[in-house]
Amino acid sequence: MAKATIRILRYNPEGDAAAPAHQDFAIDVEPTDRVLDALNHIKWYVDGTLTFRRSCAHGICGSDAMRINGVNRLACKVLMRDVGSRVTVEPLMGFRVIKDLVVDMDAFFAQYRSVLPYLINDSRPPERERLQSPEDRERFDDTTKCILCAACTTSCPSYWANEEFVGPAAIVNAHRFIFDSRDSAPGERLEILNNREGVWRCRTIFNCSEACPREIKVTKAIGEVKRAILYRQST
Amino acid sequence: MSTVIAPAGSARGQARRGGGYEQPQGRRSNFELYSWFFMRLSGLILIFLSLYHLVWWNLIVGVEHLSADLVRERWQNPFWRFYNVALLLFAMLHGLNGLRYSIEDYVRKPGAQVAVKAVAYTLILTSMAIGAFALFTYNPAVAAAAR
Amino acid sequence: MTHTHTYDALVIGAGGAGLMAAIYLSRNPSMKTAVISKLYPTRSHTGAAQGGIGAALGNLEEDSPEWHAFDTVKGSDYLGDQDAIDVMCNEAVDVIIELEHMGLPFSRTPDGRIAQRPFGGHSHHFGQGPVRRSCYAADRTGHMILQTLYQNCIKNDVDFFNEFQVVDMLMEDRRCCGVVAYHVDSGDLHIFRSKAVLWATGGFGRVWSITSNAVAGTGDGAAITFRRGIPLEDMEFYQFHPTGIYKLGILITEGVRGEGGVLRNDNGERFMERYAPTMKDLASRDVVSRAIYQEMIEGRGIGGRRFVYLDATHLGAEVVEKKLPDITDFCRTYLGVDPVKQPIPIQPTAHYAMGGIPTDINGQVVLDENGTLLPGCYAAGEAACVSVHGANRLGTNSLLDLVVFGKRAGLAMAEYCATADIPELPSDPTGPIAAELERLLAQTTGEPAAKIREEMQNTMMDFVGVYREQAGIQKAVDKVRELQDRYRTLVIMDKGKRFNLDLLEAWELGNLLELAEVTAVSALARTESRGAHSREDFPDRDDANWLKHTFAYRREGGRIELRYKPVTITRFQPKERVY
Repeated sequence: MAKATIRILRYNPEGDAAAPAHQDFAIDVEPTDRVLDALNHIKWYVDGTLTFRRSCAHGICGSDAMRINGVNRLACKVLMRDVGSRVTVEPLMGFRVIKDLVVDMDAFFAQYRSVLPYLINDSRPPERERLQSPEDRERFDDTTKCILCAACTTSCPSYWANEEFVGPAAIVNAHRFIFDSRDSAPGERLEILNNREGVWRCRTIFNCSEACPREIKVTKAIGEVKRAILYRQST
Repeated sequence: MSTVIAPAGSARGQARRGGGYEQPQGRRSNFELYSWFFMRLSGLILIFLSLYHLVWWNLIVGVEHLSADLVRERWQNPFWRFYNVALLLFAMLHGLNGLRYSIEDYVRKPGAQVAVKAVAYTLILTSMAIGAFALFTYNPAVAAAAR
Repeated sequence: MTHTHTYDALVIGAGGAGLMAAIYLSRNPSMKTAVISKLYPTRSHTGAAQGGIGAALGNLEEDSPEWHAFDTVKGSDYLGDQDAIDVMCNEAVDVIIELEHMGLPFSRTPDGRIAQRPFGGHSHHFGQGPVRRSCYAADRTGHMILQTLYQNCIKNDVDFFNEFQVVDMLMEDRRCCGVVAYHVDSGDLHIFRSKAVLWATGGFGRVWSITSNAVAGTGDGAAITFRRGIPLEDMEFYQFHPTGIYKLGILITEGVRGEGGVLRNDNGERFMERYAPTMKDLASRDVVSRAIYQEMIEGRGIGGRRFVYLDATHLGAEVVEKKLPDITDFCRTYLGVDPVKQPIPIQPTAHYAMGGIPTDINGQVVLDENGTLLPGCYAAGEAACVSVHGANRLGTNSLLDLVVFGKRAGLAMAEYCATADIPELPSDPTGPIAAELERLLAQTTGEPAAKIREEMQNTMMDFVGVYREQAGIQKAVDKVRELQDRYRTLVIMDKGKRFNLDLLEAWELGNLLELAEVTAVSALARTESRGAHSREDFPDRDDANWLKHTFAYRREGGRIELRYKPVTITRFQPKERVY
């Protein structure tokens, strides 16, 4: 057990304070505790009003993305020993804060829906599976890993500047279908993304790749989509 | 209410039920695409132009030997004039593009954005024009006579 | 403030079963369908499933649905209903193909077909040896299923109510007529009136302290329906997955053993060779979990402690990193262990409820042991008990259960809704639950919910875990009842309306206590060992007396009554179970 100070940016929509403010909690933690365990400890035994989303607690449901010491991380994938005895936890940037660490994700899911994130193939399916070589499958493997946690989109300065930008997460999910050999509508998605608020607002800042808890090479994927738009125009 | 039934319409266009959205007619343009492609190509060329420029004048010739005579001598050859015009135009266009990005990201009011862009474009395009004019019309004989 | 919505069909829960049903309901655009989930979409625990989904595709070697059915029956320790198991195994192949057509990115064989790998308890020729039956997408099969199903819901334009916690079920004239949901963001109650309701609310692993389940796995649907008079079936059968990360309980897929990983004790011995000479490390989960416990009890846990090693070091970096990338990441993140070079410390972890809300093979909820159906009420997935898993579920059969019975429930609901009318609501539909939530909020002194929850989880882990015996289970029953009393006086610190997760966690604890009690009471009564239910005081299976399903009912005054229903046996007569 070691002492740790967790500094949390609090906001209560029903409270008197109009603006969010930091609050410090001094608690005992194990070095192998997740930051999420520390937050749970505070919520359960110190201050029940502390509010944050969480579910699977091991990095696959995407609920608990937040800013930990200034960078976007999943609270369940950061151990206390890796962040030291003073940790600052804040909500994701760029979304409206609902309460404490909870942000409004509706705009994010709306952007996701805008890129037609589902397989389109109107040809009659065969009796058995559609064949796909391991190489063709590998082509879009990286972007199938996305858990829609929004760590990338909310780390993107272009998105902070302009929420009309479709954002890296939506492009990653478009990429997953554009490069799926079974899909017949990559052109439609490329048309959607060939827009000032589509891929072209990406300034290759690489924050998204750094933020992704699934280690998806987000900027690379966006670059591949940009090139796909170019090749499509030139043919 | 947090029902994601259909996203609201945005500047990108009207959301379609079942995913996707309608891009308004007239908003479709390949300007961004071609601008991106141009920046990629010219950026690559710019790297070699500026590298050679840097190495030649600073390392091979050496700053201590640099003089107006040397420049004049070099500009006798039209190739080097084109070289310098390219260096100037590409560098300025890349700067302009960066400025455009910043304006589009941070000047959010449509009217203000047009005004700031107009000022920025005018300044940069004018200096590009003056630079190119000077490079093309520079007459070494006149310059030499003037000394 | 109360809001009212009217739909043809409601799906509660946005995991695999719920979304599969929603896709089938929404294929008819005139059918108004809504999915209500306490989480955002794609946060559901289906996404945590790793190793694969079972179907006798025979892509890599000969296989047949009949063998699959035999393995499932044997895995269930003969408690699974064989008519339901036949349905599941026969429809498995088509449903996998259908998922592929929906876009699911399965891993592929060199000739481009869906890749398959061996999994615990799955065999060829009725138990002759392991067979490659588990269709997978690396070690994130559940993630891919959940994403693919959500994507298809977007395509079909299903309405989603995200972060709406369903808190009560509405009944009128012995017919289900909707639900009441608590809107997390505003704290308002919403009445959803509908012809049919599907409970796809998942499991309740949070009853135990070491669990692979999400924090959201609190069995809300099962607890709500139980309070409303619907029985719970086979609750004593709760699966402990052999390989959870030591102390954290995070799942390490059976796929590691499918790819050739082995379990080792403190002496470095591959001890499964002693317990299951044929299937070895790929014996069914109850067998492996018990073997690990036995090793620990006999002092052969690593360093005498309560874990053993899962060793994948001989598989090579290529196999581990390509076929098990997420597992590799978990081990590196949480343990600082590189599975390519070091063995993984593991212990059994509470994983899956074989029991749940009883249904027929079309997902319709059954009101009693005689099979009386409740109109308009359906259940599917882990929340339900069809029963295809009997006393022990085979790996890969949970994902299969979700999609097969999610689909069947969706189709049955669509058929029902086509002719049914919109039912009348009971008077004051929100009354009881509003009073309950107000009561919880009003308390100003008392202990926090977390303390009660912790005591419940430790008690259940100690006494209703892998091994159980009379005195221990009785202790658990008493303790849970004491905690239920203390639950009435717990205090909630957050008194606000907006996003009050403090209140919801307390309400969920009420559900967990309900289910913990039913589990313990059912376990106490069953004086035999079968599948996941291992009684130290009754080590043998007792087919003469106990080849039957438990039905638990909440009666007047809170008493739990247990009744029993015979198992459906068609082709496979009960035999001794050897792996």
